[in-house]
Order: sequence, then structure tokens, then C-alpha cells
Amino acid sequence: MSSKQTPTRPSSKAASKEEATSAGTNINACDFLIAVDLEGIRLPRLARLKIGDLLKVELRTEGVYPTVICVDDEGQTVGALSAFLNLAQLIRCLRSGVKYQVGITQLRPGGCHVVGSRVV
Amino acid sequence: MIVVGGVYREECIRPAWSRIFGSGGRAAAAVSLLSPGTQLVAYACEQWVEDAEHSMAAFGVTAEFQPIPEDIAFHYLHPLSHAELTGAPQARYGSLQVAGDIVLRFGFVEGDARVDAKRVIFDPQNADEVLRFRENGSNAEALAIVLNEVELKLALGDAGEEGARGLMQHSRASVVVVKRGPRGATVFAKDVTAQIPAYAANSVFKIGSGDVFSAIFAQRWGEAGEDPVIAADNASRAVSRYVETRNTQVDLSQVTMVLPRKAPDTASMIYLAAPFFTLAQRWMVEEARRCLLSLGASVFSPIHDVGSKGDAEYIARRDLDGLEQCSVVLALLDGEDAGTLFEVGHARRHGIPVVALAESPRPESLTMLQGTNCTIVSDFSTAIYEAIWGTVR
Repeated sequence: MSSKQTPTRPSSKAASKEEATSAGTNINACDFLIAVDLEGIRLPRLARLKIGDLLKVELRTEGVYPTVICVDDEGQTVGALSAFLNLAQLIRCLRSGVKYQVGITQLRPGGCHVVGSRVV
Repeated sequence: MIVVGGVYREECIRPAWSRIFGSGGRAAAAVSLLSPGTQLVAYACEQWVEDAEHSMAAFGVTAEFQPIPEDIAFHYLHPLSHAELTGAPQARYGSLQVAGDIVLRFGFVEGDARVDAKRVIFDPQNADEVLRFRENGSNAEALAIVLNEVELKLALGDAGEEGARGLMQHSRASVVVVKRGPRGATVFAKDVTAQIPAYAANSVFKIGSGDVFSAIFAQRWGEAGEDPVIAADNASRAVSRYVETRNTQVDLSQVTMVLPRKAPDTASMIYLAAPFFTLAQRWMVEEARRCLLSLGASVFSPIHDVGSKGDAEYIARRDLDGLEQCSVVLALLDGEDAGTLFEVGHARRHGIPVVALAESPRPESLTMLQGTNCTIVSDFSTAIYEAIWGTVR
């Protein structure tokens, strides 16, 4: 696995409604911090990770609502991003082609915390 | 299963935590693997209702939200701190209406829910709501009430058998489950009183643990038809997994091997070893003592129980006499205070276990503690729970 430094970004404010409607046209609307515990963890994939490893943020589109997942360097799902401010905006930005990555900042048995932002 | 309960923002400073859950959101997510097709009915702030919809959808939960302008949030300094509530409306919104076979109903900050179902699990979330299940016209063929012991004590004046049986009679409930934090839970049903242990966890993230308990109990008792004692035991196992991993979705196959904690001895004293020479240090002592006492522990705190008046020989003798009467030491290590480290060494010399909270230690400063089998943890709520669990004789 990669041991690159975790990316950091200054902004953690929720996007306003106006910004939220402008993904793809307003670049700043996609520039926010992701700092959350992963949900739906795949334990075998988690076991391979260490603090500082980077995960790619991807959109899985099944059903009415898409899911935001984090995948490791082998393209395997580690877990999902959910239950935080900006999730809907993150989905819009991913749909418009903006790329995000997160880094592992905490590892616990069965759980992990990630921090990340868009990839410039 | 239908969950009707609050969806709120939750903010915690240490450990950092910024989520949209609330009791309703968390419970729906918690049971989503066990009960595919779970529905959530709630109010939600119009500024982030879309985030909440996507969040629930990620767990496979279908959400029906009534948007409201208020951004209701609970703010914690740490997971055992008093939550500061912001954004609550001045008047409550009209009741949500829910009908179905199995319903888990939580008390709300901003409104209420009228439910009509075959089996209802009611978690009041507030002492004022404990006796009010049927007051708004709610109806259940079979009712279980799940609440914590503080709520029961405030509502009925007793958190034991008398209070629980009184609540059963008042609310025509067939089951009452009383959550007791580090001491697990107690199940009261017809002709049955059963103690449920807390289960082992390497760390304790307390925010939302009661919601997970209620959710899993509701799914197992309400939907799976389990005996209430078995359902509560599964709920307690699920909580141990949640507080350790912070994974909201519960997979019961992952909790079959967790080990029960022996019941703490509430009469056994916990020695609170810590410096108290600055406001920050003194605040930590007060906060640790408050948390221990609120969870039912007995505490010997040198600054409270001996004080700082008198010569050094007098204070040291009284402190160490107190320490030797305790069954475990909780040491707040940050700053490496000489007196605290002395007390740790004295405790280990006398075979007394030590739980050391070291949030930001120099690695080399822990050598002697590691070498004498102290339990070293890096977060406050875990330290509090470990100290209480350490009172087992």
C-alpha cells in the first residue's frame, strides 16, 4: 500500500444551497473537507490498511440513490461514506467528474477514520 | 421494520465526530442489515435533508422526512460530556403518524410520533416522556419500553424492580429494559427479571450506544420474535461492537464471540490520581469524577476527600491510605505529574490495577507503566469505562 501523507484541506463548512446547485460550474462548491468514519467496512480489506494509506472515493450507482464508496489500491471496496454534511454535494461533484481521495487517519479493530478532499 | 425518531447533527470535539444521525437515523442504519427494507420516519432540517436522504439510502433505508427549518444539533466536548442542544424549536411540531407491524419509536426534541402497531418498542430519550407512550393516542398490541436507569429513576423514583414494574403497569408494557451503561442492562418481563452483561470492547465511543441497543433489541424482539432476554443480550453484544468500531450497521455474526464483562462492584472505590494545580488539571479531575459517579462508581479523589491543607506528610499519608482502600486507580497522566506517577507506582506495588489515560504521551514516559501491566488508553471515555470495569473483584 501507499504510505503517502494524508491530504488536508482547510474548509469544512457545509455548502450553501446556492453552491450546492452549482457543481460543475462553481469549482469552490466541490472544495470541502471529508472527515468521517467509514461505514459498512469490509474487514478483509481493512486488515490490509495502515495509517496514511490513501483510498479513492467513487460513486456506485445502483437504485435511486447512489452510494459513495472508498476503494483501495487494488480497486476493492473498503467501506462507504455516509451520514455527514455535504454528502449530497459530494455526490453531485463526483457525478460532474471531480475526483476525491481520503487518507486513513485512525485505525481500530473493525473501524477506521478517513480525512480527505478533492484531488487537484 | 419502521423506525420513527430524531435525525440530528452530532458534533464531538474529542474524538472529532461530525455526523448526521440522531437516534432515529442511527437506529435505522443499525438494523439495516438485519431488517432489509427498514423505513425511517422523521423530521429533518431543510438545509441538510438531502444529505440525510442520501445517508439513509447508503444503508438501504427508505426515509420519509418532514422538512423543518431548525438545524437541531447535539454538541459534545467528549462522548460522556453533557450534550449541548442547539436549534430546538420553541414549540413542537405536530405528531408524525406511523402504522405498521413493528415500530421502534423514539422521543423527539422537535415533535412527537403517534404510532399504531402490533409490536412497538419505545425509547423515550427523556425522563419527561417515559410515562407518555399512550398519551398521544399511540397504540401497541405488545409494548416494550427501553430506557436508561436515570430516565427511569427520574420518572418513577426508582431505577430498580419497583420502578420498572410500575412503568410496566402504567404503560401496559409487557417488557421493560433498563440500560445501565458499564453494568449492562436489566430485562423485566412477566415473571422474569434478568441481568444482561456489558460485553468487552477495547475502546468505548459512547455517543449513540443507547440507540444501537434499542435498535437491535427492537429488531430481535419485535421482528425476529426472540425472547426479550435473548434480544437484550444480542443488543448488548451489538453495542460492544459499535462502541469499539463506530460502525453503525450491526452484523450479528460479528458479535457471537465477544466476551461478557463481569459486573462492576459499585461499592469498590476508584482512586482518581491526577494533578489539580491548574484550572485545566482541576477541570479534568472534576469531569472524571463526575463521569465516574454518574455511571454508578464510588470514587476516592484526593483533592475532594483529603484536600490540600496540611503538611506534606499528612497529605501523603491520607492520600496513600485512601489509595490502599481502592480496588483500581484511574491515573490522568498527561503532564507526567510527579505525585500522580508516585501514586501509580504505589498502587502497582500493592497489586492494585491502574488504568492510565495518556492522550499525548512521550513514548518513553510509558515504559514503567507498560512494564508493570498498567492499562494505558488514549481516550477519556474508554479510561472511565475501563476504570469502572476494573472494580470487578
